[in-house]
Amino acid sequence: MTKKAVVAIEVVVCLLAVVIISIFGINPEAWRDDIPAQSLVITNQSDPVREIDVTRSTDTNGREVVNVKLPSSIREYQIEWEISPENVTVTQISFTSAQIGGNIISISDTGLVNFLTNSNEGATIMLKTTDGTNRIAQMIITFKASSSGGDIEL
Amino acid sequence: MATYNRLQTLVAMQLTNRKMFKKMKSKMHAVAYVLLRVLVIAVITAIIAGVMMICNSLLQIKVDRNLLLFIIAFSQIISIIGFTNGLVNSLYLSKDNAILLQFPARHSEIFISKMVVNYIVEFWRNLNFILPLLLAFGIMGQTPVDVGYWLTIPLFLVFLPLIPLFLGAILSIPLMYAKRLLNSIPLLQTFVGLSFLGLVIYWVIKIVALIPTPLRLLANYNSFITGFNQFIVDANSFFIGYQNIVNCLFDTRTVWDFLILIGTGAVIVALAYFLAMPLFFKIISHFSERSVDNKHKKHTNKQRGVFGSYFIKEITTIMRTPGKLFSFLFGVVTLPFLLYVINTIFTAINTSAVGDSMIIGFNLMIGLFLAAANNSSAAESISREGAEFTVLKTAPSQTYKMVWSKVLVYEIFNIISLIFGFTVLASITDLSASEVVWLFLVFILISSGHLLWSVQFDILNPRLNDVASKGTAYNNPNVGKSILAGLLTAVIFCAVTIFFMVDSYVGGWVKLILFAVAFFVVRLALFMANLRVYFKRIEF
Repeated sequence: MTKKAVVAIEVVVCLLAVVIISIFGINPEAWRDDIPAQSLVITNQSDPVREIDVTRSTDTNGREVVNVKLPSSIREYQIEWEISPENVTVTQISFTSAQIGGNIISISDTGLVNFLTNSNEGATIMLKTTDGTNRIAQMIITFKASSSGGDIEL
Repeated sequence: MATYNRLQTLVAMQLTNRKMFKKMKSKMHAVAYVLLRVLVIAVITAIIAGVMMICNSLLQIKVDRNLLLFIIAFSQIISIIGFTNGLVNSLYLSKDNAILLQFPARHSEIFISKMVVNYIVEFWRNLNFILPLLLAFGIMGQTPVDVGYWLTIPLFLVFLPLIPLFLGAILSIPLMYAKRLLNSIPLLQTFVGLSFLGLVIYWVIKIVALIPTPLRLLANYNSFITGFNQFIVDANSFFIGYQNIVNCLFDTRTVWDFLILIGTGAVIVALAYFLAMPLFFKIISHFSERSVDNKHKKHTNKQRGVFGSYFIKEITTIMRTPGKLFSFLFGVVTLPFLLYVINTIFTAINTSAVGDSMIIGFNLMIGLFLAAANNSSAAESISREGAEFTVLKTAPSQTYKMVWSKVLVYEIFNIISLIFGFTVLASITDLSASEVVWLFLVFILISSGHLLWSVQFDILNPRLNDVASKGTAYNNPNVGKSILAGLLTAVIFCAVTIFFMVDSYVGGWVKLILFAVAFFVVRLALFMANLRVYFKRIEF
């Protein structure tokens, strides 16, 4: 047995120790008190290079709405978001949009929006936490008009 | 043709020195060996496939092409680092250079033969890892594979070893120059080593600071796995060439991907041929030459006792040997650092009373593992004297005291390390001052007991001849025994600590201290008895 083997064993033991204490040595109270999501915020920003404009407004319920304007050449857009607190128990987000059923867009689990057709129809996307707290964030994506026309709004 | 024959002879000569390429006694032996190798590959494939199945179904880790790309690229980085360092020894500093250069062969042929030998060894190693990995992925991976996947595997096995090997050959040149510079200034060598260690510690502390409090590993599992999968994707974006290389395996492959795989290998081989080969002979013929212009100051020798003389000699040797000094300082720094990292994680967990006992037990085990690794050097402390041992032993005095001086040196560094370690422990955990002091006492008793045990292994079976003839005792069995004894001691004490303390916390401390005292007393008594009886029987 060499010193290298001891280092490898040491690393494994350290990881095992953390796992064992996390399972068998944890305070029973800690099993129950899940950390709920307190807020869900969309963090996308404007990108002058790609000509993407991002503005923020408020809907009738006082919730923030993120408005994204894409040039018609962009057919793929990544939604970015933040849930607080950082150590929230469930980080999973669900995405809903009326346009998904119409086969106009698809959204991956990681929030990547793909526009499946060449039409310049935008999309309204709702993000929701899945831990039962139902924190919601909303994004409206529209396409900038070509030089001959105005914006295409939803 | 003559060149080819010479190369074949050179390669064959070097390969026979390797254990894995020993000549077979008969055809039956060869067939049995091949069958055994196939069986080993099958078993490794089954194990990797099993791990992949667990990752897919239980751990929710996606075993897809992203993970495969990450593993292959990461293994290549490890290979490049390994080759860069390894080729410095096997190409330039190897003792067989003196023999090989006497043969009627060109220097370039010796260089090529060495590279071929290293390539064959790496190819052989890949059969134990890359091949089972690719086979297991084809069976259990989440990314669908076609016939082309299986047909591309042999191409991978041939070309993948070329990249790290020849890149390592190129990078080993500046490393060789750096090593030479560091060897000429010993203090700089220790300084660079410690600076590197400091940098690693700095980054690990930064990463540890990111651990959320309270740490709830099970509750946060989903977010951890999401983060892990995202990390794989982000890291893969840096492995530009390897994205194309791995793409060769899947149905999205293009001709360009194959050209990049073969082209990268060819370009790196060509670069090594034109950069490293011309410098090969120059480096091996000049790098061992170094003038020594030490100016010795005259001074009168101070008379000391036998123990004092040996002790000063040990200290002087350590201070004058950068490798030794770094090894001791590394030992002093790593324990506090490790205790800091692991206890930062432990304190972030909201633990019960049982959890608190576990933390003490695991601290003891983790610290003792490290102590076992450090003390294992003591298991060759007498052997390292080599031929000089006879000179030391023939002195008309109580030369057994030299063993005590060696023990004391190790003990001093152990205590310094423990003082730092337990200062860190006291500052970051909720343990009371008395608990830290008791744990320190228990730790020092067990560590010292193991140190004596390690030296005892060397007294019973010193490898003086190995050191005298080869310069070092390769695969010294005493070191292995010492490490094994240390690991077992650590595991037993961890289990005993948890058992005692879960039963009764205060009573557990008393029992633990008594158990540690008993261990130390037994080891001390056995060490003294063995030293008295066997030291005088040690012969060169």
